[in-house]
Amino acid sequence: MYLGIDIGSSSSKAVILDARGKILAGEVINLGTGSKAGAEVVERALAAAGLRRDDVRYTVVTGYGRMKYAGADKQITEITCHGKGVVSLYPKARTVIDIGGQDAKCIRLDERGRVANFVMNDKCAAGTGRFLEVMARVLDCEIHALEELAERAKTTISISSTCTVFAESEVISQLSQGASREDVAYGAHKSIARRVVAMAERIGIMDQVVMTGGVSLNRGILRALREESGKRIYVPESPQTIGALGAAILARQNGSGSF
Amino acid sequence: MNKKTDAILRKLSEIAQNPKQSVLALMRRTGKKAIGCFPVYSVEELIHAAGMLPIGMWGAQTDFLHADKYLPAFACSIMKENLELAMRGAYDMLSAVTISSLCDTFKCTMANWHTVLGDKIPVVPLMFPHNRKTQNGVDYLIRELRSIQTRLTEISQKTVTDADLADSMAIYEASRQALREFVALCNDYPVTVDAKIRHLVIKASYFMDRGEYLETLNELNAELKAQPKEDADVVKVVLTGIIAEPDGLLNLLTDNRMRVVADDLAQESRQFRTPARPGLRAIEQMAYRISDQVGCPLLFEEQKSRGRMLIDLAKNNKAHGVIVVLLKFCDPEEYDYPICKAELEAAGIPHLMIEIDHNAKNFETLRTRIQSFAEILQ
Repeated sequence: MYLGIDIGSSSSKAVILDARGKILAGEVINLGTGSKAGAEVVERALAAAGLRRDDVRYTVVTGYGRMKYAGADKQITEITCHGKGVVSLYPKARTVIDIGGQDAKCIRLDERGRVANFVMNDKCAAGTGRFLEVMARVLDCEIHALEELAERAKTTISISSTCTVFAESEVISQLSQGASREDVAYGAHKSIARRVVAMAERIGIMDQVVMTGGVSLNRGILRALREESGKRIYVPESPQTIGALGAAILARQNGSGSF
Repeated sequence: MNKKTDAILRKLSEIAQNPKQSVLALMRRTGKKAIGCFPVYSVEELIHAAGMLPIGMWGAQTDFLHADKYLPAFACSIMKENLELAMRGAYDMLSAVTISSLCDTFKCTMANWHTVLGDKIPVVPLMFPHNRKTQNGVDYLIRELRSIQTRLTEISQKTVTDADLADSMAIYEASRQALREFVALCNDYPVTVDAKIRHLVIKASYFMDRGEYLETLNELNAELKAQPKEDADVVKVVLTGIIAEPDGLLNLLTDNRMRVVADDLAQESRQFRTPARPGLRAIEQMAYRISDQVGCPLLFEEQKSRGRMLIDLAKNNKAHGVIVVLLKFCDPEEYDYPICKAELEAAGIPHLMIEIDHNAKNFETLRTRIQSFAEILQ
């Protein structure tokens, strides 16, 4: 059996594959690096698959917390793992957008499904899940309720500040001037989409575009990304575990000597 | 690695990693005054000929308590570090500093330094010509260098003759040749000379008497050549930018089996890749070295040859890729990047752009970028 673990900034994920590459388990815990979630999510995945630790032949760890996880045979970046995971599900994928808790990544895949180039946000939290968290706080709602608010928007409020902190002030100012919470919520989604699309254009957005990461569960972001990029955005059934799936695939290739 | 090579590398690394102690010890030993040289280009030969020690000022990690009063948050970190360190007294041993007009932040820093520290450590301004390739530009630069020579003579109280300057020029030219030989040798010894060691050997030149540095570097080159070439499974990269620091960045390269096979860094090869024109007076050679320099965004160049130069560096050294180390808020480098990016992509040479703050202390997101690039290149 082969184990892939993805320890991100705000969640930990694990996927187990059997010798033929069939997914036996995929688990998510919404706690990231610096917590015990990395070990816990492995235990959960093993339990779900009805396996013991000894049954795992090879383990690959990825994600922001990969350097701190001691129980893996190899650590590989989330760029490579997300690329690998996406290609296993979407062989024609050429662009991967992964918006996580504290960073956003755009990955370009070549015709053989290998990572050809990538770009990550490097300035601040603009264009990441953290931006949505801040907006949810300002709008006094849970983060998952943001998309429901955004769906009822009548117009788009433009949030011009790139900086998350300045954007918070800007939104408070707009609310005080009478803008509706719904319109502001959709403006927040559009703001993230604009940042991410602008970043992705640095390496070129090519069909098929697949989105991974926890933020892809948000329909408002998907709608905004579709509008900003003009592309259809594919989302896997379990977008949060794609990095862990890629890690598990690499574990299987590595463990069977074909890496 | 043999013991002698190890001893030389240790000595140079120690000096490069402890600039202040190294400079103070050198001043005590030689009894000479020291002149700080702000990046990128200075007048080391003139300072040396005036019997003083030219000291490189490429910043050092510090917390900002004072510099923020004079430079905005979007100023280059090296300039802020230099100003901060000076205001804290770290450069009190210097008799003067040379600051050039190569970018807007340099100009602001020059004025700030003059206002805040001018009474204690005077500024010797160095105004490079914009049109440096025209005869008028070169003639102007020669006059500017003569004017600086007069200022330095006042500080050192030693008259500088053309023969003195020719002697100093000869030492500097020999050391630049030795540095070119060293960076070429690094490619054959990837085990002995990793990314950080390569950098420290070059950096030590800023804190040593240049004659002593030349002697040490010649010894190192001879020792390296006497050893069998090393074969290692490494990812070969070319670095370009102002500076490849802090050391944490270079450690990340080594962690990912990367070796620097060539560079276009302002702190490194841009200092020594352009030889002086033979058959000229030393002051003319100094001016023409600036006029002849190519591929440096701080020196105006209509043809923009940097991208082509990077492609050649990568191909000639069989590099797997190029890493653009973009110093945050460095306008000249930022303006150049899109041009270089397009040319590297057209040539099919993989490249990674990383933005660095010289004062950065955490490298985890940088680790992901560099490791991902290594994974792509493997």
